[in-house]
Amino acid sequence: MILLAIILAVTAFVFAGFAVWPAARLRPRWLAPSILAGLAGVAGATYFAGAQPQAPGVPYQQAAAERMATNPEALGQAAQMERLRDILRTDETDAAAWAQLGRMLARSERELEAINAFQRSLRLELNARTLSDLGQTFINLNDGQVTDEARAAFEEAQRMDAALPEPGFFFGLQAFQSGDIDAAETIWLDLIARLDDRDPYKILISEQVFQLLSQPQVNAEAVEAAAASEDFDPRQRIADMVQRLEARVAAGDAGFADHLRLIRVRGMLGDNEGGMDALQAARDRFAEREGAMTILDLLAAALQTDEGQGE
Amino acid sequence: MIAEIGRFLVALAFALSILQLLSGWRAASTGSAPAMRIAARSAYGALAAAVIAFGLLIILFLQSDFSVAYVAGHSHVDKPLFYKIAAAWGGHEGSMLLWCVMLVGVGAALARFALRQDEQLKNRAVSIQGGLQILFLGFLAFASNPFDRLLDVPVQGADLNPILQDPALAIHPPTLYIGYVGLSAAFSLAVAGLIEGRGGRAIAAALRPWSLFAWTALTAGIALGAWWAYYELGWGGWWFWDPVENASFMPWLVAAALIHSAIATEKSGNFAGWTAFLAIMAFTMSTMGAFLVRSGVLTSVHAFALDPERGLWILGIMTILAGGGLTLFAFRSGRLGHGDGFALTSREAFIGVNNLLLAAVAGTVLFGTLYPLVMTAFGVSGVSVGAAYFNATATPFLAALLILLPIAPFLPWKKDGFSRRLAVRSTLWILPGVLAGLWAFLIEASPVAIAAAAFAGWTLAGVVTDLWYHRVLQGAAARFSLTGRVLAHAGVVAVALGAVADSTGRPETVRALAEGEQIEIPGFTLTLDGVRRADGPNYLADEARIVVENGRVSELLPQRRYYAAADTTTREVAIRSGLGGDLYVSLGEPRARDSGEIAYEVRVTFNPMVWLLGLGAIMIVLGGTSASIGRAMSRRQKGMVS
Repeated sequence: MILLAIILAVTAFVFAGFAVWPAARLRPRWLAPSILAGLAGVAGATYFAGAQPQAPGVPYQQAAAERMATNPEALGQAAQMERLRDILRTDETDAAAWAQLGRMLARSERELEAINAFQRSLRLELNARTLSDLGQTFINLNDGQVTDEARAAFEEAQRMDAALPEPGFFFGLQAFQSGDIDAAETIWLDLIARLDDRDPYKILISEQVFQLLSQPQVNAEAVEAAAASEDFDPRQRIADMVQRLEARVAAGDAGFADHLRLIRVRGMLGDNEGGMDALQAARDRFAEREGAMTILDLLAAALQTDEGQGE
Repeated sequence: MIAEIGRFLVALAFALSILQLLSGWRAASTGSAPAMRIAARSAYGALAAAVIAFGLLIILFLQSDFSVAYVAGHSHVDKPLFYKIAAAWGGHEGSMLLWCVMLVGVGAALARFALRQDEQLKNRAVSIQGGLQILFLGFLAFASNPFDRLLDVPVQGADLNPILQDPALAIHPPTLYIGYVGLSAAFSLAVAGLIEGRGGRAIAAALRPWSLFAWTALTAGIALGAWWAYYELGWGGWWFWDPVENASFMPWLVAAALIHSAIATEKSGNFAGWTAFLAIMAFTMSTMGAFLVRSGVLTSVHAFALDPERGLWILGIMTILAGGGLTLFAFRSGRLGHGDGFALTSREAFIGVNNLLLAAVAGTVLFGTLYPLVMTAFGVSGVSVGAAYFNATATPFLAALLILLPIAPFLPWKKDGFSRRLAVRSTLWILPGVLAGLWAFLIEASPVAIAAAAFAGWTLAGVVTDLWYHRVLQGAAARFSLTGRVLAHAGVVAVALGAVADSTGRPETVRALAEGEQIEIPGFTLTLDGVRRADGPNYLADEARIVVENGRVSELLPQRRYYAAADTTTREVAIRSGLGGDLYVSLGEPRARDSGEIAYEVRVTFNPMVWLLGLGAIMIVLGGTSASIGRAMSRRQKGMVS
């Protein structure tokens, strides 16, 4: 502040002095100093309308050095990303930093930049996790659709690390999106069975698989057409669906997805007892499929929690 | 600290401008030598302060100091060095500082170079210029300060608008501003002349070199902008009759009228009032351009910093300039004198018609530009005035200008001059006119364009004759002036012919191409050889390699860029120029086909003889420069004689 004040005062004196110099020997003697003071006064008043002399300048180099000296976890997300970019500005060959930056960009839904960062990382060092992240970013960029590019990334990732869970999940998702529910079911249940019980992905994937497989299979156009008719009754349609599912389960020709749909719809209707019955039926039917039993165990825990809360 | 010093220097330039106004006024009123020196020194001081402030702003950009709001809003640490510097004038506040630097530069130049033989008029003009500086520096210091700070400093800047990250556009605004602000000298001299009660001849002689210089710079600025639009916006247009383009075209037209009318006024005292009026209007129109760009009242691809409050400031400045200038004109124009009079077929008469036509074009463009604004003010929204209106209204006037243009240089001042020899000569010009019209017909131009081509042919023949006939002129100054006139007039013809060629149906094809696929337009076969990544420091890019065959094989490399910081995609076109025209290729969105194959949208256009526009613009700028040199030499010679 003091240095700034000195610089500004000297600047004002030099400029105003230069301009007023021809008046220095004029009479009255106070004329030149008065003009000088007037100039300085106007300049000062204009300056102080909006000045922030106490705010320090923050050149980028200085800001970057401060970020580097700070624990990354103490930084906000934007600063963390910028810290990674700072690292990469000095060392473009840091594959881990590119991959980490890619993950943060992907989380911020900046997919194009994330893909670029993952690709930069992979050019430096092939890594199964980065390939898998790249594949997932391709999918996010394509509104959830598993594209051929994404599949290629997952295949390469799986070839490098067969234990990686994500490729299997997304292979299943691609089958599911193409309408091949049975193939998707098989891939997913095998994947869940393969994962260790302590692997956090096991629960995550099981939940996802349940959400996907238990989605009601409806023809959107038919529903729209029905909804437009005057005697449309949504509750009746749900009841009809439950009836059809129950009939299939009773007849023993229901698939795992049908069982999950029945459990879900009963849970949604608040019929926890009915849900537990459906769950038990599924357990009896798929007792030998480990992956299926994992999902059903999770559902049982969820339904029991709901019941407990209800009481 | 740098930002605070910059802010203080802006304040200092403002304070020095007040001193310049007061001491200049006193010097003009009393003849006080110390006051005169104080006025000049204030002008130099203000210039030094503004230049250093601008230099500090550039340093802040180079340092990427995002504690400065303007830097944070227009820069990014990964941006190339050149564009970090160019960003200093890429937004509202910085460009306003540049405007002020040029304005105080004009003030200092007036104090240093203007009117050594008429100190009183010069001091009054320096004082008026100080007043203009106060208006704009006040606006800068209090409402648009580029040194404003941010308390919450962002980790990264928002980057400069990607379409502005281009060499032509980095140079376009400073050049344009030299033109806009250069006209302030003509304004100050005209107002000073009216206050001092000087005759029209003295005022015209004083403002002519400044107007010529400003008009030349304005031409260069407009041409650079058109060139940028041609290759950056991705579809090959160069003039859109966009409100902001019109805002630069109107002062150009008025300044063109001014430099012609000032010649007549200086020679014979005729059009004295009109010349003073044009000098006031030219800078007022320049300020109107600033208002249109910065206020947000009009939607435009050029508009930035859309802020109604700032718009009100500039509207206020414009009101002071137009209101003050024209009120003074109304009361004092009688003292300008009436001139020596002139015959109907004298050079003055033709200059008068030239001025009427230029003013008519400026008037129709002004009407078309402001009409949507006026209608909105009356509650009628959604009104827009498009190219059809401007082409229909401006073209007939411009065609008439082309017809009259070559005749004037052969006419004498004041006297009747339409001789039999001139009649024969101008009859001979019809032949090139017919040939040019035939050419336009053969390239399938519209009827209006055929007529314009015929007029251009006629004019070009006249311009060549002008050069031949006046080649005997003695003295370097006269030759420079002649060269300037001929180049500028021939440049106008080239631009007219370029516009004719552009108005013909341009062959264009748009198709989605996968690797190995071809696209054809008449005379060319283009094959997409492949697409590769071509990332830059602050953008991601796909670059297509397109092989072109038309007897010889060449390749074009259009790009599609994604600027992440601004979240903007741009097309960088590839152009193969030839005598016949430009092959113009742009790369669009990639799309997956059902087969999974990726295809890119490729747009191919052939723009016939577009080089004529560039050539014309260069000729006009060279012509203006040559005429300025001739004028300076002539004044020096006169000074030596006297």
